[in-house]
Amino acid sequence: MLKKCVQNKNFMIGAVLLGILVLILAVSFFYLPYDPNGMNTQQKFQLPTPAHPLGTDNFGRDILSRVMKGSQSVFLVGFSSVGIGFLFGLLFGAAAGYLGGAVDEVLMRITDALMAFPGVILALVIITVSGSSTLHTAAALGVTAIPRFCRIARAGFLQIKEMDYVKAARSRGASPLRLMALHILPNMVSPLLVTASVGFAGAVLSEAGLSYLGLGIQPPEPSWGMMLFEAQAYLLSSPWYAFIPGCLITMMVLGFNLLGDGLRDVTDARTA
Amino acid sequence: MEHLLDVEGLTVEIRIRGHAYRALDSVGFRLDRGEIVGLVGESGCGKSLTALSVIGLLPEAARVGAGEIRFRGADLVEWTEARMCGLRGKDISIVFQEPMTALNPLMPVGRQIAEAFLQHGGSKSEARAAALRVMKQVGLSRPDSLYWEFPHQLSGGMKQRVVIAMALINRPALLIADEPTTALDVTIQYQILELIKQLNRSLSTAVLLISHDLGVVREVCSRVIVMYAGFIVEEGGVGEVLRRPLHPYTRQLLESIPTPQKRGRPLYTIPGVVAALDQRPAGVCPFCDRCARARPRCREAVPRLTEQNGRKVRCFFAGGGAE
Repeated sequence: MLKKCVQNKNFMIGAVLLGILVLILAVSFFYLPYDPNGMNTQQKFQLPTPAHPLGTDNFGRDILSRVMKGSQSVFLVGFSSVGIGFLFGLLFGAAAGYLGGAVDEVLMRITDALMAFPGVILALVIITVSGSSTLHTAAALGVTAIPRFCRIARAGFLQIKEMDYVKAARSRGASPLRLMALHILPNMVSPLLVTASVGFAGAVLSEAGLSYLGLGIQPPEPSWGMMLFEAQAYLLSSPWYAFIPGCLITMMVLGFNLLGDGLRDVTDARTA
Repeated sequence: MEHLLDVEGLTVEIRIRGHAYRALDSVGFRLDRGEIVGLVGESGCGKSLTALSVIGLLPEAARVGAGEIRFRGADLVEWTEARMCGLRGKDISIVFQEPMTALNPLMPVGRQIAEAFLQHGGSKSEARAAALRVMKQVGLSRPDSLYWEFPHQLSGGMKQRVVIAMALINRPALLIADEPTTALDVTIQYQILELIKQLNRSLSTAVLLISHDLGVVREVCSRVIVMYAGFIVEEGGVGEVLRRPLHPYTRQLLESIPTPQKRGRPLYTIPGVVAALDQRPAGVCPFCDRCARARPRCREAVPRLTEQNGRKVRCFFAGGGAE
């Protein structure tokens, strides 16, 4: 399994990209070169120099420090929204797929309704109603991720509950909960992992989008999307500023998508 | 005397596109302690469905329409799912046809064997000990290391032994074996049959052996029930039924088995196939379309299952009437 992962090009490129970002995240907890919100109007729009390796922004804040600090909120929003989507999606999907019948019908129609809204619009509505903060952003994105996980989980449960070994477990007297937790769920971990990986990329992108619109993480707290928005005004005079957060968002999204693709290839018996 | 299993008038309906079709029609048979009874017939005749209804694992589209399944005197049809959970794997267990798919690929085989013990009130260490004991009993060597191995590390014969061990860990009173040897090659097949016979003797477990191989049935069973299109068409002692079949279906089945004597001649096959569930004519003998001796009367009514000399047969012309 591990060997196959290493041999898979997509997986490895994704893993390296994400490895770099996780490293940035890890360092940011212990060390930031400058105060990410500390302004220095004397040194606005500096190109990378030894003192400011990634230059400075319109208020003379150190971009490297802001990017590092921003990685914390990106990961926080990514993990919590995927976590919420995963947890509730799995619960609903399991109930729908395993129980079937009326439960399935009701849950799936609710999911369809959720899916009918474009994710970002739905998140916008939720944030508008609840007020914008990092936590609300994560929650809103989590809700928009539920239908996707729900569909995957339902499909998995529907398929695997018909497997002979599940019937065999039933014939041994295993209770429904035990069947679901021990016999069905472990056999559908890989599609769920792939979904989580791709979902993480989506969440990062949506968070950047929301922050760009000023509805995500609130300034002066740094966020990559927010930085991109601020840099927009100076795109012609100092393209460098927009380039950095843009690059990082791309790295993050690409990394998770490649990792997801790689995982799918590695775990899928047909292509392996 | 009370029978271990007493099925009476069992009718199972399957819903296809909103219409209910009878897949089993007034099936009735008995099974006593320590007996091995064969259930034979072509694919689609209702053998597996009969077995699944006994253990209460009918597919979602199917339901028991009428009849009783009395196990030790209690009617299982009336039981709730929760109560059936307490019975399955303890008093009645089933061995499925495909050992390749009947094992969870992500769980060590020992834990799968122990599960049935654990589910019925054993502690973890007891379950492990019982699993190791039953693994030895079914002839699995080095049970200690095998306990932690995964299904893909085992051969087909070993897997089927594991599946049988799973079914037998609680020493059930009734073992249903749904074509337990069909997926195995001939030498392994023989070993597994010997194992079932031996366990039947040592644990006095009654076995309902489903098969479409009359040779297998001859080898291990004392009685045989022949099914066709959801009906029981013949029942009796194995020797008698196979030597002197009363129902044309049994006779034609026997004729289609290759034997050394038939060498050099084309092998007989029963013309046609079992009619699909939604294309079975009502009110006629179920076998009349494929029967070599069908008469006009066969298309007028369904023959009753009549008893003669301890054997049962569902044919108007049984017992020489058509000779």
